[in-house]
Amino acid sequence: MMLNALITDHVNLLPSAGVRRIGGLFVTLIFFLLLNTACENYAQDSYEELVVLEAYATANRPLPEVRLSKTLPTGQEYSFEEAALDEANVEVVLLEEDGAEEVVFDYRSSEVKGVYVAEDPTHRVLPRRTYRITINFDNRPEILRAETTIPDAIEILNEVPDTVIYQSPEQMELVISAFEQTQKQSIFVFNTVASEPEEEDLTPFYKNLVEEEDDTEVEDFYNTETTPVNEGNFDVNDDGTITVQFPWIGVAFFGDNRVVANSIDENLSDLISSQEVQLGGGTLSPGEIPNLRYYVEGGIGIFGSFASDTVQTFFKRPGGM
Amino acid sequence: MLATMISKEKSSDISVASGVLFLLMLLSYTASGRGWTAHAATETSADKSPGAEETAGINASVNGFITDRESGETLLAANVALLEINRGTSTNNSGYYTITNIPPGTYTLVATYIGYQRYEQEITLEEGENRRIDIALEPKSLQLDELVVQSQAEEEEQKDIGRAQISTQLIKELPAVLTPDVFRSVQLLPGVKAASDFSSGLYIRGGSPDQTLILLDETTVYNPSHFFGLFSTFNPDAVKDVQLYKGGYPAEYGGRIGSVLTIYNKDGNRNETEGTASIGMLASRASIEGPYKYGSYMLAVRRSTIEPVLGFIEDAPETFYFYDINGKINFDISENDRLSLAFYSGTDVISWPIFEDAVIDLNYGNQTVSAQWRKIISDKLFSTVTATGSRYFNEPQFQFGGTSFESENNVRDGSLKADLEYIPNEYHTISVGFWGGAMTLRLQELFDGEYAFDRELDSRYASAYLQEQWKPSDRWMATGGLRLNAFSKGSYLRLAPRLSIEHRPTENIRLQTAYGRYNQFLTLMTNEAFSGFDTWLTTAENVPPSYGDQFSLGIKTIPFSGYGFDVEVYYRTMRDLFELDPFVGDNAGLDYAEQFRFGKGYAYGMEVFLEKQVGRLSGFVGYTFGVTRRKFPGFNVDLPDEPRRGRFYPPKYDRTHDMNIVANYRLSQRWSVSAVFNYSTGQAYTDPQGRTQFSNLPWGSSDRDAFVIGNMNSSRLPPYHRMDLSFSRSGRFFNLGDAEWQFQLINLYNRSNIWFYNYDFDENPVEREDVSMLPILPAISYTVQF
Repeated sequence: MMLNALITDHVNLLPSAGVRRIGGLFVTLIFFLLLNTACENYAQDSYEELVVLEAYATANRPLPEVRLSKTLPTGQEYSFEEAALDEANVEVVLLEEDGAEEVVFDYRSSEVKGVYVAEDPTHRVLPRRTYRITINFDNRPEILRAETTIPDAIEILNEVPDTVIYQSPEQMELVISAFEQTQKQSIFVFNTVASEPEEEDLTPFYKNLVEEEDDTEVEDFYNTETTPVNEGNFDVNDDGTITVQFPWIGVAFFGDNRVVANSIDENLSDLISSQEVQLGGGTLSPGEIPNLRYYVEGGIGIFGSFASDTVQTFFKRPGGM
Repeated sequence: MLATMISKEKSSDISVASGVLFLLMLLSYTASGRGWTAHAATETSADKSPGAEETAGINASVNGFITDRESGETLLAANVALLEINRGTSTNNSGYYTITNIPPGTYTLVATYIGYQRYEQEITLEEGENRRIDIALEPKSLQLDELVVQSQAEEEEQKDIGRAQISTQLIKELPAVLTPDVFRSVQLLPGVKAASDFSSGLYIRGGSPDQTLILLDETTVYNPSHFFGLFSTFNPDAVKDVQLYKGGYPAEYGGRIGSVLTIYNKDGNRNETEGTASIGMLASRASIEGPYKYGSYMLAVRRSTIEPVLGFIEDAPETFYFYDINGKINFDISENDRLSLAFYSGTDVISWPIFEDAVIDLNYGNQTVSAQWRKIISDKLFSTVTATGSRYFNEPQFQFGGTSFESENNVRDGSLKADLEYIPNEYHTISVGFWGGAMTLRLQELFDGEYAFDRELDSRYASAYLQEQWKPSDRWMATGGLRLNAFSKGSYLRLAPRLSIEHRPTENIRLQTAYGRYNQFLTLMTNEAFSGFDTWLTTAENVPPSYGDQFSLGIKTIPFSGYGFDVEVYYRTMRDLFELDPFVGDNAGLDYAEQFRFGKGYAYGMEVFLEKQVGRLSGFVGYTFGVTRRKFPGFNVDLPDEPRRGRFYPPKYDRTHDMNIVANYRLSQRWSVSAVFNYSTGQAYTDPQGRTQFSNLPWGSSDRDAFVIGNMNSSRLPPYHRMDLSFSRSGRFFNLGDAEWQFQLINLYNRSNIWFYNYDFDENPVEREDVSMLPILPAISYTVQF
């Protein structure tokens, strides 16, 4: 009797069959949750060697040299000589509009391991045409293939002053000739090459960088460049030309400089942009490192192209600087 | 009748609002098929008893506000019950409760709320009586007593699935960097993660910060951060209530596919004028609140005081501060009508000449304003109408070597929302609402004085919901709802069903499940490390809204009085995620849709929460097991075979295990100690496997190095753990008011938690460097309450 009463008193405290069933469901759910996680095979993979192609075709210039190398493990010292690949068969083909082969250009090894040059030094890369590169090796299984469409040739039309006073109200202007589109919009890179760079000729901003930053050297600014800039940033004149105000940030040295305007293809633009993303910044969290954007089948790297024109001027110190 | 209760000059506003209410009631009538619309429209006075007419003239009702006796502040989610018939409910977001359909008789009315003394009153209700009982609860000076709970009805506290509440007292007690912080406290809850010591962004159940709707007094806040993300904008002195819906949230909210965080500022003390002043090493605060002839007011200001410290740091910014101001004024039109006007304004400013001929200037901030009219239309019908305005801006300017980079980013959002809550009887609670507004997002970029980018996105949005909470018995409750969302940019219309079911097999156990479809028409361009440039973007043609489904299942228990033990599991999908493509370096000349990448993701996990609410030792332990994955085309690709196809990867904030222990121990009448300990799996990061170099580019002075990676974010940083400690000593300030010293140690044992690895290509082979998070940080603050 007492036992019955004890059991009856405690019945309400014990979980009901329904609760036990739901408890069981919970345990099952958690089990499957953990099992699913265990099955999510997303582990750190190991190093895989890849073939790297590097070649930049320039409009109206001879066919580019082709550099072939392999990737090296991150912990290993890097040099192109160490990574260079020999025994490659390189072929560049000028394509017709329908993709058919128009002219085939053979390549041969140069004196430098991993660097291949065209057999025909006379061919000038044709603007607005598409070239395809194909590579295979006698000693490796990889077959690489990539294409680039050469941007239309550009020309800086205006007379650039012989001397420009640095940071004066009169900024240097570049009027770039009208061109035919080979991609959705043109993309430009402007670079400045100092003719006789000396540390004492650095402009104040760059001078401070060299002085204040441990890992910055004066040589880093001999040839400065902008990031890729879309045509959409500029006003297109009625005659199709583009007027660019050359920004002062592009001037690292007082004195004689060559100012180059480059119109680049998307392969090159994406490589540069994605390399800058990989180094950090942008919207990715620190530590999230993506691969670069490559357009090379069977390997990585770039078969890119550009067209360019150069002017020369003297950037003069303003009074008191 | 309505017109007699309000001042004449307000009549035009009221008539507009009444029209909105009428439309809502009509909508609700159509949807529910109940014949109460005409009645509700005419019965606007509290001196009648509409409920009695509707319940065959026999049953009564009781309703009112539950407030803090000392300050008069309404208490949200407080419990109220009639013991004899085991009928209970909890207060809504206005602190209002109503219990209807009560048979005439004598009852014990009980109200409870954590941190307050239990309220008990015997009441006798006549047939058809509608009794207004405003309850003022007495705060407990010390929580040394156990909470006494006598019936299930007293535990009617809103414990919806996925919902959590954080008390402002806890926020102030917890050790915190610079100043007590709402978001840092929320991040201690299971299911909520911080990206780093430097980011107060809320990563909830696998969602990024933009997937959480943040409402301050019903107004959307677009960049709730100070010091570029180090902590949030909400001043604990001004905040009354913080509620978080981690997922599976009901139809009354919408616009984000993840979570909702609602923050309500204080109304202000209705009984006496009081204030606080707090001086800290790096930030100080002051507030004042009190009654006035027609209601109450509150004003709280906060400003960083870091400048003297900067004076000792070489190359420190020339100017670096933030401030914020919160204010609210309430106007009690009548017993049943309350108007409130609230505002917030906060700004961060930095000016930093980093080199000669190189200056960074940035100011960013938020401003919000809201006007709310809360009306008790009858004992069964409660309404709120809110007009909101929100502005977010950031205006960075850089000047490098004579070339300027300027940007001006603005979000302006004005909206009107109206909600009706109708409680015809103990079985049903019907809510219906509307939220519509206009939003302008403007982004201008100038390079070297010329416009490089100028885009203005004007959008209008509207949503309406209908929600029914059905309680067929004491053991079962189902809440179903539908939300219709419309967004003008891209002309999108989306229907989002929501359903949650709760079953109570025993008095102390709640079993809950929820499903919901959620839509999002905005996306945030941000960086975890720096929120000062945050930019919002909207859907448009060819940029469809994100959507996702959430499923959750939970068990909430009260193993012992004053304790809580909850477990929830969840699974959610994220589809049509649209984010700014990180590889788009320059968006000039691109079609709007070309700036984005479109992906998908999913997350699942389990959360365990053990809480001790009262006694000398209080606190909680939260544990989260979570998995989050995302996928975007062309991202995390399989080189060289499939360079365009993306694969799922864990974002950096994914952490498999995360545990927080929060404890507060009252050592004596004067001294108390708080401790927070966090342990979590190391964050995901990408361990580069190989490298190459591009050395033949036609420009540039140096070679371009590149890593080659395999699976992105497939390695883990070392586990994160940190302990913070805070001692508080209360006393008096020259008999003028109460005072408190707070001594804090952040990262007590100086754990060097890794934030990320930096790689130095100047070294060959490349060298990896640790970038650590916060070291040990001491802090002292002194607060006076007068």
